[in-house]
Amino acid sequence: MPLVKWDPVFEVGIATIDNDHRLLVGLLNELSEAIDGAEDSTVVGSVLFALADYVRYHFIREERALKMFDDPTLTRHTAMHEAMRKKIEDLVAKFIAEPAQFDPTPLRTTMHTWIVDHVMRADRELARLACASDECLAIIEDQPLVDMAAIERAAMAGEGGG
Amino acid sequence: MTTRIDWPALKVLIVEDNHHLSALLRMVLKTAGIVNVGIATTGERAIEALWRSRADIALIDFYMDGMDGAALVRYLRRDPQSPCPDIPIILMTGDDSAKTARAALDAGADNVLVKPIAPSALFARLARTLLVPRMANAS
Repeated sequence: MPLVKWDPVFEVGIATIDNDHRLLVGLLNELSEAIDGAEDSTVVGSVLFALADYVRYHFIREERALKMFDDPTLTRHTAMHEAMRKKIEDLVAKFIAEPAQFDPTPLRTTMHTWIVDHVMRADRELARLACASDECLAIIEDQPLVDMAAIERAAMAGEGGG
Repeated sequence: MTTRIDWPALKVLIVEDNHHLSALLRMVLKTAGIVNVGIATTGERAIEALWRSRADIALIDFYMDGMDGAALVRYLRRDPQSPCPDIPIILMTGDDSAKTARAALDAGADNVLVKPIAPSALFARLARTLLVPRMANAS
């Protein structure tokens, strides 16, 4: 039984943003199943790292669009991202320090609150403004969630193991 | 932005006995446009899968019941019956010791990925393994 069942009411009306949110809900459900199934720390840690990476990728996409607006609501939006990034970074640091002692329950609560609160309110406001600007919509729609070209460049420069 | 690797055309075989992890890896690969992903839960099933259909790269768990990851890599690299002696291979392990990394590379893996796996680390290893020939990785 998933913790959060995707509901059309979560949709903000921009396909790429909605797909990102759907992915985050999927990861939240994976995390929930891993916790309930008492999976070992390599599984819980992999879901945690995935949430951290995709939240980061997703915020980069949204913030590129946010930069186009000079609106106090949107300044608050970026501050909310920063607070969420910090929360997840802290949880990742706790996990890395003591994987066997890591309690993933606060992460489940944090992500659940985020999805039903931030997505339903702040992201809907962002979508309303973005949909009024073709340029802004293009920025959101054209940018891939994961920049594979940048990953390839880093790999050629010697990063990525081996 | 164009890429050197045709990620959506890539065929990946995951050999992993933990279904949470294999489902997560499949989800992560999809975000890079990789949708052609096979999953095998044992070394023996991986060999059968590779006979049925080629893969461009394999992600293999080090510790599995029966034929473990290192034994599977040795088989794929050296056995005359191997379906794909040259397939690029990344061995995944929860053990981050140098000894295990050495054992993985000695078995014939191109690269090692330590669990827990971050998507950014997985993409970096995939890109590195596919773009840089094995001899360069070994040096």
